[in-house]
Amino acid sequence: MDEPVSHVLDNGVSSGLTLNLHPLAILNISDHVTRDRLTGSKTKITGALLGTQANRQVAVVNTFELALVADVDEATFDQDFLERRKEQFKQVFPTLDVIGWYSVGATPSDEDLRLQEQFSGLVETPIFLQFNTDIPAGAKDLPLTLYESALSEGKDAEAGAKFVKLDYGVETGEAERIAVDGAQRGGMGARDESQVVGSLVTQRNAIRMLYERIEVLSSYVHAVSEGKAKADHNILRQISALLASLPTMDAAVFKAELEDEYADVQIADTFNSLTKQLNALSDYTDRHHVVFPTSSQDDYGPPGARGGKGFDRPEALAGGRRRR
Amino acid sequence: MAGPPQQAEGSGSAQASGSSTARKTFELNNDVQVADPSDSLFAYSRDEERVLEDAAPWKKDPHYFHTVKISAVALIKMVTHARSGGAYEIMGVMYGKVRDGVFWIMDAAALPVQGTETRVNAGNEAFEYMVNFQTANNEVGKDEMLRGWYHSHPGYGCWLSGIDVNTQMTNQSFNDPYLAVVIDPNRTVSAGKVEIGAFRTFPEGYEAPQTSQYQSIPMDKIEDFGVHANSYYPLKVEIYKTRLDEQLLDLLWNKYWVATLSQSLISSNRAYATSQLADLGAKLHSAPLDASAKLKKKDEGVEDDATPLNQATQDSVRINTELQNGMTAQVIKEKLFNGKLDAEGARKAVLGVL
Repeated sequence: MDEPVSHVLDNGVSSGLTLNLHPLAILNISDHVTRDRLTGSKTKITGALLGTQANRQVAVVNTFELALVADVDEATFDQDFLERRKEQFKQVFPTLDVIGWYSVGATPSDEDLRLQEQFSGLVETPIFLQFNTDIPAGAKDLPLTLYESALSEGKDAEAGAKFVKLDYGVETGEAERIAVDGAQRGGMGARDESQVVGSLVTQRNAIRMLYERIEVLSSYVHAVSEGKAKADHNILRQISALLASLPTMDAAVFKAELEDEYADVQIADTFNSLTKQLNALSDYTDRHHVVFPTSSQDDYGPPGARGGKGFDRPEALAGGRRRR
Repeated sequence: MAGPPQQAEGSGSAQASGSSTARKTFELNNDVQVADPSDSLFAYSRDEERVLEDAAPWKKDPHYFHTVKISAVALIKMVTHARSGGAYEIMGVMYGKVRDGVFWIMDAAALPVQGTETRVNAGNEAFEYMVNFQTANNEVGKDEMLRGWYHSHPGYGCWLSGIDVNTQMTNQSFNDPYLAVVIDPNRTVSAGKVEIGAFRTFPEGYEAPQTSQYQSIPMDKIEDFGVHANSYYPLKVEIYKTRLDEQLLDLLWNKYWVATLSQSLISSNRAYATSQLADLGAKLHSAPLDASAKLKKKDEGVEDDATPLNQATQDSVRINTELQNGMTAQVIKEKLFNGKLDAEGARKAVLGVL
């Protein structure tokens, strides 16, 4: 697989797609890799990327495994299988299309290039995701690289098709984020964990991440101002732009909305307190009723507990006060 | 509300991250075992499983299955599918293995079934789809058996309705071992934690031990819940992940912590929270009528711990906790990003360097 020529254009111009990966897609590939490792299959790991594309925004939402047909020594995608699977997923997730494919490895190989060419015939400008199973200890980035085919013009066209790297981000839907959190912490059944604590821990962890990143920026700015680090104007401009955007949202409308929201929640809280008091009072009357039972003929409930109805019926009052 | 600055990301990755420490603490607190269960799971062959199937210990012991372990992928697939259905119920199937009283759910797949707000049922097309889907699974080496079905209860909790009980009973008589999983996507999002239940029904005529547990169920469903609550039992739900999943989840957190800060629970749950309050109102409204009936019962020596008012109060506490959690997050963000920062001064400092 180690080819002397790199298939990646280092300074190639990408089409400027904004690319977002969903955790489900990433974990699905992980699952495929693990399954492949443990079942010891001999074929190359390949699969299709399912997602959406709106203008220049691409989201990779899900994936499914693909089959290869071994042709003498050149494996190709099983097109019939791809079509069938595509159709199946279309039925349940009509908004998702096949937008690319994935495989494993550190850098694109000859075979990847060939498969990309074949895939280009099936899907317009496919994205190629390469998963590097060899995750170095202490890695900070996901072991994934995304490519698209370079627009071959002039000299490059002669050199043959090449890959261009694409930047990507990670995006989650709300339910997806919660499910990922759940998977991360394991058990679901534990109901004793305080919801408030759980929610605060999540917030704290996110704020800690934010804080760590701000600290990096701050120490960089300090180092530059002390002449210890080289000033990268691009980074400094970005930091400046970032600061200029604070406060993020100071429109009066937003403030009013937030205050309304706050008041609503506090009203709900008051109602909750009232309900709890009502419940406590009801429990108390119940207990009182056990200690001082009324006669069972009294259909009006215990005197006192029902706003003094017992006074109209002296016999009930007398009966109700009998001590045990 | 705009998310926190993206620019902080790239340059921050050089820093030794404290996220793993935070996560470790969290896992320690939550008693998460990190082992690679998939090693032994894949080693457990179809032949070994068939031996168990032939012995069918679940036929003799209705409580044979006690736990379900769901893979991270299967969980995320089911939850996102449930959420995508919106107000409508969705349905799908699960693939996996059975071993030692445990269901291992390794994968899940959606079914092309259109449900309504209160029910979902699979027709013939769905069965055909199911068969074709599994055939395709086998072609790429996924040879796990069909081990159950899942569906969603948007906003009304994880339990089996009368129809669900019938469906599950049929499946247990013809496709056993078979598991029923219910997911509530609305409560998942409002509580910030996956609301999921796994159930198996008892054989007909079996006298189940009486259990009562607090379940928040909307007024119009209470009867359906009460009538069938003793025809099935819940299994313990656990999530497992492979070592590779583990590594990826770690790295993912480095990327998506931003989402925690940029999402607003209150605004995404507004409709659901309102419906919850309306339901609570209805429950409280009907409680006084029941109270007098309850007193009569007490006179007859019948004890009932779960009074309607009691239940409503628990609902109220739950709704309020969720609202407060959402509000706390909002206030934190307000302080973080809208505070009266000395932005001018900080900017001048940066511009001075430039």
